[in-house]
Order: sequence, then C-alpha cells, then structure tokens
Amino acid sequence: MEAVFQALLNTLSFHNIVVLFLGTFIGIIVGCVPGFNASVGVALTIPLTFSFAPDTGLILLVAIYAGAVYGGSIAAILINTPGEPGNIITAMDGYNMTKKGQGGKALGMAAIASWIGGSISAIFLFLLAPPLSKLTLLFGSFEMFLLAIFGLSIIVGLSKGSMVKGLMSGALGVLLATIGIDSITGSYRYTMGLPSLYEGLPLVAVIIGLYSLGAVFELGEQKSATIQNAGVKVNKRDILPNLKDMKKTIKTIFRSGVIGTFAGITPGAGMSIGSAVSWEYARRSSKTPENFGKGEIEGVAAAEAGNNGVVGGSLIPLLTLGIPGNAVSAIFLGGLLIHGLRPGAALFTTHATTTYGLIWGFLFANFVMIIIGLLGTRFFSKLAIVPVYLLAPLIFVISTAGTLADRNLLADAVVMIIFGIFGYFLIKLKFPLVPLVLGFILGPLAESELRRALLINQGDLLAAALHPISIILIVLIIFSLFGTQLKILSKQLVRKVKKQELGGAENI
Amino acid sequence: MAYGVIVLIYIISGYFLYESTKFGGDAGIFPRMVSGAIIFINTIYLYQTIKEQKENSKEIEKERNKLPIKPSKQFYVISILSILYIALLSPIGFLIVTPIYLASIMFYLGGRSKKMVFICSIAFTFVIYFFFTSLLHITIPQGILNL
Amino acid sequence: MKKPNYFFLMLMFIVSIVIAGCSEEAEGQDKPEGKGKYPDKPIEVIVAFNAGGGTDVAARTILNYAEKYVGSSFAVINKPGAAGEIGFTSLAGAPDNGYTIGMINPPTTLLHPIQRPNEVKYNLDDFSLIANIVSDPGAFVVNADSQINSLEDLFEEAKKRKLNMAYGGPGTSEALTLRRAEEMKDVEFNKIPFEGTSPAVAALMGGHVDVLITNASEVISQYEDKKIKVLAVGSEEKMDLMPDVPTYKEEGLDLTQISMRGIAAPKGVSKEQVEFLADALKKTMEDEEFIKKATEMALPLDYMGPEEYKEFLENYNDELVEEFERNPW
Repeated sequence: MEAVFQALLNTLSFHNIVVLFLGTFIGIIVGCVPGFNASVGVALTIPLTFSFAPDTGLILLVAIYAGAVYGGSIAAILINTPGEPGNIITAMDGYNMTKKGQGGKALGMAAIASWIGGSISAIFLFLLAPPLSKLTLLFGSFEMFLLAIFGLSIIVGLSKGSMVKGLMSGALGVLLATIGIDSITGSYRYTMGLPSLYEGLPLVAVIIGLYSLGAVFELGEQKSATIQNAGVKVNKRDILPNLKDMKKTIKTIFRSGVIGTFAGITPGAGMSIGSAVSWEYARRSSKTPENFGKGEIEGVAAAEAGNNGVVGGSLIPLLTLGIPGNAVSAIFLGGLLIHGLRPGAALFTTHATTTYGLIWGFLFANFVMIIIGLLGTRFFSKLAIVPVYLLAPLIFVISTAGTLADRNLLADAVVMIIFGIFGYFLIKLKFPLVPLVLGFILGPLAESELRRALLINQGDLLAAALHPISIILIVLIIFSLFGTQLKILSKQLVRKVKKQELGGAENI
Repeated sequence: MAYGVIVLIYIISGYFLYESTKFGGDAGIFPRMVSGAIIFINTIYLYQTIKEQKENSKEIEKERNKLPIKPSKQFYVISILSILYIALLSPIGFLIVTPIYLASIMFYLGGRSKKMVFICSIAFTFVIYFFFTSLLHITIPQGILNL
Repeated sequence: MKKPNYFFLMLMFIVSIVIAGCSEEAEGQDKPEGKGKYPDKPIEVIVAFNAGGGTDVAARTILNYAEKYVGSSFAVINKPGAAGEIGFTSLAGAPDNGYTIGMINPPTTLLHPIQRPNEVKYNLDDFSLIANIVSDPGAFVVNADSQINSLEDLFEEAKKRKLNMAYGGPGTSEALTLRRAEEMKDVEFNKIPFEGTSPAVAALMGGHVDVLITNASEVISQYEDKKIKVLAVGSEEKMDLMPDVPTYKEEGLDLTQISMRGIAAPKGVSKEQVEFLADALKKTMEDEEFIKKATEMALPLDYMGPEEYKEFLENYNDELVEEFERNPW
C-alpha cells in the first residue's frame, strides 16, 4: 500500500507530469499519422528512454501507448484512414458523421469514450491484475480458435446491406492472409519467391492501401470541395457532444470499456476484436440498429471505448506473467527490460513503486488525453473544411512515408498501392471493407490455432470443446450468428405461451 | 465494372486454389477451403448481378446518372500519378519527387492559386521529411540527392 | 489563403516542437571526436528484427554503452522480415566502408542459406565477423507443478506416453535439437509449433502443453517466480543466471544448443576497422555499468573476438551442413 502512495507522489512530480503530457501528445500525433501506430511509437521511443529514470521512462512509454490508441481515431473520423487497425470500426460511423458536419461531435465523443474506456481498464489493472491474469492461461489453442471465429462471426452483423458482399469481403481477407510462410509446417505459401512476402502481406500496408488510398480517390472524385458535404452548416453549439449525446451513450461506453479490457487480457485478441465486439453489442442493444455504420455517435463511442479498454487489459498478462497480449505490449516488454524490470511477481514487490508509477501514469495519461482531445477537437475538426485538392495528395504522401516507416521496405509501398486500387473497386461496388480487414487479422489466427489444437489433442477436439471457456465462446458465436433469428423465435414462443394462457383463462 | 471484379476474383481464387495443391503437409487444406468458398460466393454474386441487371435495367440507368459505377477520370489520373510516384521514389529521391507529385495533383484537383500550391507542396515535403528522418530515424529514399 | 491556414500552422507548429525535442536528444549523443580517423560519422547498424524485439533491445543497449569507447554514435536501422533473411541479406550487400555493420543471429543466420541455398542470397563467407555479444543457451522447460523434474524424467515419461512439446516450428535450431535428442534417446514427442516464445510460454503455464524447448533468457522471469521449472540448459557450462540448472551434457544428453547475437560487417571491411570495433565492444562488455544493465535485462553475455568467432561459426556451420545433408529437419 505504501508503494502505491509513494508511486502516486512520484508520478505527480513536476518532471513526470511534463513527461506525461509530452508522451500523450506525441502518442496522439503518432496515432494520427496513417501507418504509424502504437507499436511504432513505443518501439521508437524505447531507445530515447535509456537516460531516463525507470519510472519516468515507463510513464513516457505508457503515455505514448495510450495516446496513440486514442489518436488513431482522429484520422479515422476525419479522413477515413484508421491510424490503428482497431480504428477501422471507428471510421465506419465517425467518417459519416464528419461528412454530415458532425466531425467535432464524433471527435469529442471519441475523446470521452477513450478516456472512460482507458480509465476502466486502468482500474482493472490496478485492482485485479493478478486474478485476471489467470484468465489468460485458460485460453488454450482451441479457445483461441473459437475466439477468432467469434470475431469473424461479427462480419455477419457488419454486412447489413448485402450478406454476399460482406462474406465475400471477409473471405477475401482470410484468403489473402494465407500468403507467407505457414507457421505450422514451415511451407512457403504464395510467396512467389519474394522474401518481402515470407511473413505475409504487411497489415499496415494493406489497411493504408484500402483506406487511405480509398479516401484519396474518394476525395478526388467528389464534387464537394471539402470533406464535409457541401451546404452543411455547423451550429457552433454542435461542435462538441452535448448532454443528450452523453446520456444516450454512457451505458455503451462503460460496457465497451469492460469488453475491451477483457479482449486485452485474452491473448491474441487485441484491439480489432475489442472494438468490433463492443460495436456489435451496442448495435444489437440499440433501439435504432439500422443507423449503425451510417454515422451513429453510439457506434463511435462503443468502438473507441472498446479500443482503449484493450490498452490496460493487455498490460495485465504482460506485467503479471510476462506474456504480452498483443503486438504493442510485446514491444512494451522491451521497454520494461531496458529499465531492468522483468515482468512477474517481483514487479509488485521489489519494484512495486515503479510498477504502480506506471499504472498511475496510465490512469493520468487518460486524463491528459481527454484534455488535449477536447481542446484539440475544435482545431482538428477544421480539417473537414480544408480544400480537398490540398488534402488528397498530402494523405497519399504521408501514407506512403508511414508505410515505409513500418519495415523500411519499398515493396510495402507497392502492396499499398495495389490494395488501394483493388479497394477502390470494392468500394465502388459497395463491398464493406471492415470484414476484409477483420478476416485478414483473424483468419490466420483461426487457422493456426485450429491446427495447433488438432495437434495437441491428437485430432480429438471434443474434450477441448467441453472446457468452460470453449462452451461460453460457442454460445457467444451461436448468439452472434443467429441472435436475431433466436430473438424472433423466442418472441413468437412467448406470444404463443401468452395466447395459450389467455385462452385458458377465457375457458374458465 | 462488377463483371470485371467478378472475373478478377475468379482468377485470384483460382490461382490460390491451384497453388494450394502443391503445398506439403496439411498447409494447403485451409487455403483450399477458403478459395473454394470464395468461388462459391462469387458465383452467387454473379447470379445476383445478372438478375439485378435484367430485372431493373431501366432503374439502373437512372441510378447510373446518380452514381457513376465506372471508374472516374480522376481515379485513373490519381492512380497513374501515384504509381509513378512510388516507382520514382527510390531512384530519384523523396525530396525531389514529392513536391512534383503534390503540386501536380493539387493543380489537377483544382488548386487555383499557383503560389498556394507551390508553397504548400514544398513546405509539406520538408515537414514530412524532417518528421520522419529526424524524429523517427527512418531512412526515406534519398535518390540522386546525396545528403 | 483562407481557412486552411489553421490546420497548416498547427501542423507546422506541432511538428517543429516534436522535432526540436528530439533533435536535442540526438545532438546530445553526437560526440565528434578525432576527426579524420575512423569513425568520423555515425555508424549504421542493421538489425534484422522489429524495433522493440529481443535482438533490437539487446543491440540498442550495448550500442548505447559502446558509443563511449567508439567515439561515435550508432544509428540502428530495422530491416525486419522473413525471419531475419531480409536484414542479413542487406547487411551482406552493404557498402564495405566500415560505416554499415549489423547484428547477426547464429544459428538462424546460418540456417537460411543452408536450408534454401537457391533462394537465399548470402552465406557466412559474405560477412566479416566482429564479435559475439550474447550466447543464449536453449532450455527444456516444464510447468512448476509438473511431475517431471529432470531431463531423465522427461525422456522416461516420453517413453510411456506422447508428450506435447512446444517449439519454434520446423526448420528452427530447436527443431534440430529435438530431432537429435529423439534419435539419441529413442523417443518421440508430439511436436507443437508456436510462433514466438510468449504464446508457447503461456500454453505451458496454462497446462496446454507438457514441455517447452526455447531459449533460457526468454523464461528467466517465470523461472525466478517459480512458475516454471527449467530442466536443463544447452550451454557447455552452467548459466550464471540459472546457477542451479544443469546442462544437457551433465544430464546425459550429449548436445549443445546456443542462440547467439553478434556483430558483423559486410565482407571487405578493413582489418583495422574490424579490430577497432571488436576492441571497443570488448571494453564495453567489461564496463561495469553495462554488466549491471545486462544482468538486469537477463542478457547472457559472452564475448568472442573476430578470430575466435569466425572459427566457432565456421565449425558450427559445417556441423549444420552435415546434419542437413543427412536429413533436413
């Protein structure tokens, strides 16, 4: 307990607060730039923290992590180019709001949802890290496979317009992700002898190609001279979310924060599942589900709270067990090691002051985030009225540089442009892009975990399917696939039963 | 355009299906399943597209006027310039190609003030260059400018 | 010039702040001493793995301390991809003026050209070796509440039932060790490939697999927390970081398994430059501050100079070639 307060005092020292602001700010900027994401941001900052005291260095890293995850939403909302893979869900509703002149509202909501979602996960991290870390270990290969399938099952909810197009998009994503060295047998699949394809198509280049380039083409074609639809007038009072918006979304935000935290704890899931599941849940429990994906503020709130919840969640298995839950926390591990902090029990005993300093830092970073976020919203939302002839080429050049930054490979820029052109046709034919990205991320997870599960259980999966986590996941998948039908069915049943009861009463 | 994409998807999934037979061990099973599924879905999509066009060919005419389904002129121009940009990035260098690319797209998309376009394209180039090289120590193609 | 100014100015403003903050940092590291002699400008270091990964962090740590002895700064360039192949290839083809060096990871670096000689565009002869830094022995690891307490137990148990053995996948050096151990002890494991150590450790701790073969430094935290048991390590002598763990050889398994991280330059770099860098690295690795840091980070240090390293890797390479010709793994 003493360590907790000591850590609080340390965190509130002047230079740590400066570092906190700076880190969150840099994180937001990094998150904004397409191609840059939390992984790159944290990785590039690690060497800079060499000369820092451990607590200051880690506060800087965690602030960048938190800031970058929020920052990704800004580009997603304003120019439909998700800064982070997790922000693809945010872009669906956010960008449509920007077109309608509600970009400020979407940005403000993203800041608030990120703040609450992140803070919820910080509280979980603070109070329940050791018991929750046991949850991570319950996930065997078969459970991970089911988790990936659960994530993929959301595609059904996402392809409202046309099921065929949604499924096609998702399946294409899964298929394209099979390119690369197969992790189970080590055979080379579809690599065409190109070393740059050995590890598969780079996710960053694929997302940037589909979204950023898609945005460039769309901007180039549109008649309106700005992103915001021509003729939309924004009332000054409507720049930020108002009380009514808050009332509408607050429940969703809290629920999504919790969903995100748990998605962060489960290995391999990460931000895409965190935000997609939150969004889908919000859509299902909404009274106006048809608005989701067309500019619904609740959609932005759910996706962003889910996304940021993952941050704290992913730190739980990392700090307690030394098992990083996602790509960013794997890099974060490097940051811990450089400061001589090896994850595990010692972090909460010998190094408790530093560890709690990190956790406090994360909690405060969320507060800094909302301050910068809300102050910046007025500025950022002006982007919607920048002439497109300036914006379009600029997005392309930044995207190219961002793609190159990922692996320093020019081949990745080629992948980006191929996907940009391919994506253009998909968008024109009204194929949804989110299923493609989800399939691309989760397809390989599903494949390798299923094959691993088959190896471990020597072909017999029944025993694995009877584990408690498996049963829960199977129920979730069924609900996600057939939820609507089940709802209708149960309503009919209830009606029937009621009718019978009424009939019985009449008879008496 | 829809037919073009359908054919393309057939070609891609056919290639994936064909190649998957050559992989050792069980590496080919999953790609085979997925590409098979895509061919199936694509056929449904083809059927839907044909049906749609037959049923309301008149309505589609109307919709065409509203929403062009053909790739626009802007798409061709932007994508060709962008491909050129990526191709020339390595041999000529970021600092030279980028302002030219920026300025040409800006003019094409209707930037009127010459001063504005030139200042913006050069300033943006330098800002991006310094952001990536100094802050992130990322090697951006230098090309013929040997800095 | 109307509204866009806001955005424009702000972007400029933000970027300039950020750059200012960082260039200060970079200038602090530049110490242009002794102009005219080597090195008179920063040396680029190619790391064939992602920024923030194990090799990257190890490289950046030692280079950070080495600057003092080299008298110049280092710029790390990450060229990840294809299990290091892209980075190793680009190191082999880099200019040989002494200003580009890189990290190599034997045996992974050696395995690529052996396994796919037609596709991989470098081999060991394309490097002039400077020094080895880290030798990380392999290790057999089981869950803390496992019945298995020694390598002997492990092979006994493996004869009774098929144990699930987590490893890095076909073609890795772990796969080779496993194959040779299986041959020597006449057992067979049910080998489960994992991508990266973390998911494999998670599977071991969760009881989803029975045993794991990996590198010792990757499981040090779990070992110290007594969440796992390390049965034996693959080095010639016991590890300083795990003093109570026997070696494979002590346990009757006549094998060594070591993953190394060293520094090499492209072939053709002058002998003086190689020796200068090797000497600077040697001094760095004797630096007390660095040793303290390395212990905290669980880096098993093991310096080898250019001659020694070359001889060692050539022998290692011959051994691998022989094994591969006998039977690919």
